[in-house]
Amino acid sequence: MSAMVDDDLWSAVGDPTRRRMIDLLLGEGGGTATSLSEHLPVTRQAVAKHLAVLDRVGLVHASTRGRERHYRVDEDQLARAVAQFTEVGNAWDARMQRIKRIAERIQRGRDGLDGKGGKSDTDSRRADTGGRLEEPEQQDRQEQ
Amino acid sequence: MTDMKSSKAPGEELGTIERELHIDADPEVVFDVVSSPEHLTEWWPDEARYSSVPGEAGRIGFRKDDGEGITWEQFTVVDAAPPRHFSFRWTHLEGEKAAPGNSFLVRFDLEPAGTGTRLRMTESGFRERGWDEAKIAAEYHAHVDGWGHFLPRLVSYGAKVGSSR
Repeated sequence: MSAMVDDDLWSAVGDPTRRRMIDLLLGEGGGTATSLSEHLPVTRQAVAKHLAVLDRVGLVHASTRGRERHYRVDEDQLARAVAQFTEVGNAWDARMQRIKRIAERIQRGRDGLDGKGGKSDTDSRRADTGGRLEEPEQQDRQEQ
Repeated sequence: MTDMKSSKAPGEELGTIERELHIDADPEVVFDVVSSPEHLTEWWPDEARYSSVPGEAGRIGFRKDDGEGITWEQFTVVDAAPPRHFSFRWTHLEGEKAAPGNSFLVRFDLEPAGTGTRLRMTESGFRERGWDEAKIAAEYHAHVDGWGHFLPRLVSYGAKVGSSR
């Protein structure tokens, strides 16, 4: 798919009202502009416009049931959107953990040189796994 | 100097990734790690050639997966105010001046916290640029961990984006 689609997808999910609508649709197994507007501080017309945006990027699909269009979330497309958020987020999680390890290693080195009693960092020089999210809540903070 | 910093409040743009972390190191140390080319290559690109002078053209390089050659991305420091703030733009086209709409903006804000530093990072510009670049960027150093568990993530992600406004 093109960058355009991806950008639209981002914009579609980036709006708080539309995210709330997706939550509602998931929770209720679907809904109409009328049913959604009952749970939201916006008019039915506004909800209908938001639904059109979500429909255009394939995050919801409509079927006609009775007098109103009934919408359901396309979970595959939603998964795709979320995966895109997650990818960039994961990359930064990994980078932030590396920044933390590097800075703390330098700090320990400095404290050691200054004679402030920094501990040896042989055990805390963990291998950089390249992006595990967990950082054990600092077993090596006894230097303060 | 720069007006980019104040052109948008952090989080105002919806396409923003935001991360915050406590580091047991002085702000001066953390600032050096997030801003100097020598340290940048320890936590992100394989090559980093840029000056800390705002607006000056620079670039960062990523070794290609097949090991043959380097993919370069443009990189320009937007603001450097040690030890509190460092921001840069990247992925604009070579020869273009980095600006909103043609690049991603990364901001680091540092605050002393206890014996260490609270480091806050935001990256924005996705909404203007589309996601292909973001995905490519992400793939340099992170693997995608599958599509499972996406609903809770959307909720927590949404809460984060929403609350940052």
